[in-house]
Amino acid sequence: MTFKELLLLMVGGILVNNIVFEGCLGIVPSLGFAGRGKDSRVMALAVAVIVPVSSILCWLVNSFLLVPLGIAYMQTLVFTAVILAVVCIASLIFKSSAKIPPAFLLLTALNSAVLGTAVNSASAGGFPEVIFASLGAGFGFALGMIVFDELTAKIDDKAVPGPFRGLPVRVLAASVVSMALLAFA
Amino acid sequence: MMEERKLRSLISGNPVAVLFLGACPIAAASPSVLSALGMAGAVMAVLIVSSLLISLFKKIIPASVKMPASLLITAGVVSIVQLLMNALLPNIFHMLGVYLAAAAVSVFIFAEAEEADARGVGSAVVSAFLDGLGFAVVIFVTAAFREVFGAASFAGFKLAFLQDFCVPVLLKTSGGLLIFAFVLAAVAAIGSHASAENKGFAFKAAGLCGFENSEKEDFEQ
Repeated sequence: MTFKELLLLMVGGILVNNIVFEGCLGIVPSLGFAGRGKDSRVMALAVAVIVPVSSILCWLVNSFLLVPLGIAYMQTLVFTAVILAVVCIASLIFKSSAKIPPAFLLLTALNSAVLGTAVNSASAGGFPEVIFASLGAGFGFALGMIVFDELTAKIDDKAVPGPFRGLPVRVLAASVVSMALLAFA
Repeated sequence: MMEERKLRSLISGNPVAVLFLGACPIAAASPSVLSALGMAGAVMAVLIVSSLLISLFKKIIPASVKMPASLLITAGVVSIVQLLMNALLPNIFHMLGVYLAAAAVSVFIFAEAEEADARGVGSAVVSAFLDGLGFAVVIFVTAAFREVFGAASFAGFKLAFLQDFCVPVLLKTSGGLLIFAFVLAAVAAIGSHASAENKGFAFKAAGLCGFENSEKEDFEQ
């Protein structure tokens, strides 16, 4: 692949195949952590770093350890262990920069977006593709989280009908954003 | 007590609707009723087996590594379920794809596993079953709406009279989120009239998932 194609892969991962709005992975933390201003931005940055790092490590483990040993079916378990280690290290690094309890970061960062990207990239092809695709996924997640943060701040003080208050209206907003992103496809 | 617990799992304390746990597999695996049923079965199996194992091993596992240990136990159970599904139901396994693996770290199961260590083995299994049932109800309703109105079929059978009125966008992710939002609102509307006494688990899981600020007001209404 040329550099241009790799760049397109990354931009496509952010806008067209956005992991939150199209892939439906990591919706829980991005909606659940919305509306916290600076903290959710730190969180978005943390996940944007965690996704590529853990995907690259998982790809290395998969192609140099699991496949040669013939135990590729252990992917889910091994990838979860790798991601757990990455998230623990990241929570030590990010602990000082925000008032987020480490256990909380652990729970939010260990989401399906991270594991989903790792599993997807294990079959994505060569090393450069994995780097750019996982960078796209990470930034796509950060984009989703920041968009939800702004949306929640705008929605929460409006007169929303009773049953839709809280989560349902946020999911509805996510659906509209996802429909808007269909325009890029 | 048990009756109240049953009602709570299905409506007022539905783990999906109230706490938004496990939303990723619901929005992703619900374009067809068959894949939704496969996902519901897989989630229920993972929930029951992992909460059984965690409550069996809770005395051995030190408190400081409780969270990572329960996550790894859950991931192991998910691997087993994946292999079994690949062998027995290959069609559904390929339909679910990466979302089955993603269920391993879904916060839904995670919070459930957290809850499992608070009580005895038997009640942990029963509560895992009930919460799996709550998940199954929500994913089934969402999938039924999406397949009937998006593809004019139900579990693979064509519904001829709806053929001209299909809304294909319902099969996309955005349609899934749309229907899911309405199901959430419907459950909230029913749940506000049902008994909602024992909210210990609800609060704990809400806190774990970061909803403690936004959702408490809703509970207190």
